[in-house]
Amino acid sequence: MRERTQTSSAGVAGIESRDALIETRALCFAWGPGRIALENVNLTVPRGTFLGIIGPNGGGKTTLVRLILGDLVPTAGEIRVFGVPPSRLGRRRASIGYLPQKPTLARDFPVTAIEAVMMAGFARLGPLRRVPKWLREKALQTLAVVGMEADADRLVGRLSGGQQQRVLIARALVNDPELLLLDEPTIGVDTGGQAAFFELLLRLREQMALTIVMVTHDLLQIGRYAERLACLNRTIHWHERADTVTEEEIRGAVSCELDEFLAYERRVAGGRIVGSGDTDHAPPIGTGYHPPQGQDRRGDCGRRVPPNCPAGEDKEP
Amino acid sequence: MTENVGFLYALAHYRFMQQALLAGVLVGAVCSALSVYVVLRRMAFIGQGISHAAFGGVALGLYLFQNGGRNSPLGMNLTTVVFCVAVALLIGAASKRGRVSADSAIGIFFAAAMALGVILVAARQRYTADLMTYLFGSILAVTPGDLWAILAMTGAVFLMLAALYKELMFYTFDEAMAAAMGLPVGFLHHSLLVMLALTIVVSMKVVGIVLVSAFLVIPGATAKLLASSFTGMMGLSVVFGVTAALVGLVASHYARLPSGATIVVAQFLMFLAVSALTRRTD
Repeated sequence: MRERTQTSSAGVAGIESRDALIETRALCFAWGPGRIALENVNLTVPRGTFLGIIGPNGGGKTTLVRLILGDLVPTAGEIRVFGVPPSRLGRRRASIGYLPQKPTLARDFPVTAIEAVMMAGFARLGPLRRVPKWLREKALQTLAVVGMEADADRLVGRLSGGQQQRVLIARALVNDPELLLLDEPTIGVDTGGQAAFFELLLRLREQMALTIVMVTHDLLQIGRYAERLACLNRTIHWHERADTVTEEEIRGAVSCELDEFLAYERRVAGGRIVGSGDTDHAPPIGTGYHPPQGQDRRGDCGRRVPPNCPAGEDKEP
Repeated sequence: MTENVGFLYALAHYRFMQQALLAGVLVGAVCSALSVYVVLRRMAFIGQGISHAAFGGVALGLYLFQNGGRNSPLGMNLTTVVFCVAVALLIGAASKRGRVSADSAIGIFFAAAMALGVILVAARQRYTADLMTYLFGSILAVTPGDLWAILAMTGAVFLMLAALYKELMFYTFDEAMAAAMGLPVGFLHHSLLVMLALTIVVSMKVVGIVLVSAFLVIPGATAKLLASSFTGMMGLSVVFGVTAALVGLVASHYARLPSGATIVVAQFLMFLAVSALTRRTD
């Protein structure tokens, strides 16, 4: 606590908010000597925000998610979720609704939609207890929120991709979370399904007063819906209101993913992503983007902070 | 039994027949309950590995406790239990570390344990006909002591399954998410391995080391074809396992066939029938 006050009085990042659900200070994580995944990440997520975290593959997005969940322990620096280190969240861990990347839903696994949703409540119950009636009812209500109550008793494997995703959202919501953490949720969902998915998220955010953090490499969609954007490529390159981020900044920060950028250029008009919506004025493919020559694939991406992460150990190999 | 009496007559008049029936039903039930996890977690090879490694445990137990003048069935059984649980945990540890893949770890440990078994059998100074009982099972030779062991172990495994039912369901369905929600997935994994080892040890007398892995796969695989929920699959699997045990026992009685193999054939025929029936509806 004392440490925190000092940090804020020193005004290190200047983004301190009293009601921050997630706060990181000089957060570092390394998988081993020389295998730095994150360095000097300073990020603040105030309550009620919809933050999109974009960045190239291998830029540390999923590592950050696992740090937030307490699944990994920082090598250096600090992370606080609901004001405490994630490893000490205890029962409040249930206040994080989590939608993992590429959920491993075996197509032929005999589990119904409602069983899948109830599972997220199991960790709170403890062993020996039978599944209580209130959890079943809660799961049914949550399925209704995402419009899947009619399919509660259908096998998850028999649902379409978009329906499965809604079941997984219901699973993430069944504990009434304050924070919804989504890791690449739109992979493998078609464009129409993605739009519907984002609309659903916006509606849920309003209904349930959710704070949403979504990690994605889909610049276009997230730019349209998120309120704030952060770019993560080993460190946070910027972190601000989505409508003030320019295309050049995105290019600078993500300069390594050429393919993604060509696709991006095809779709985005002008220098803004948010509110552009209009894809008719996209610049011709390849204009203005030049991958750095003779550099590491990750690029230096305008790094402001020198690498100073000590090497750490894997909690989980 | 010189003449082939009716099954119900035998059941009513011979204690060994009653013991055999009870042992078959209990082993059929506990194996088929576990087979749900074996099938869904793709642990069939682990089951086979532990059951074959059990040969090493039996040989060690016989060598230490039923050799020359020594004769201690309790010591023998305890040795087998400890050995099987140890091999199961070693397989689990080796495959989790990631330095060897899980199937290599299983292949290594089960071959080594069997080799140890072969050496110990050769070193033993006694005729080894009883070893055949463990390899191929002999349900009619189930003693009251065996039956108590089966009752205790199946009771323990069913209690563990009941206590961890929700947690194991979540772990089986989505391990990563279960871990993210704070469930002790390592503990759950090792609990499953221990339950497998205990079940295999008590099933040996009934089905034998060679065929016990069928008990741990076929009922679950059959139930999965029909199941419309996780709990449904568990129920169906136990029904299939117990039915196959009864059908197999009756058939082996009339046809004078080895009981373990006959039960496995009954399981297999059920699997064929169910897969033929479900193919049409899909």
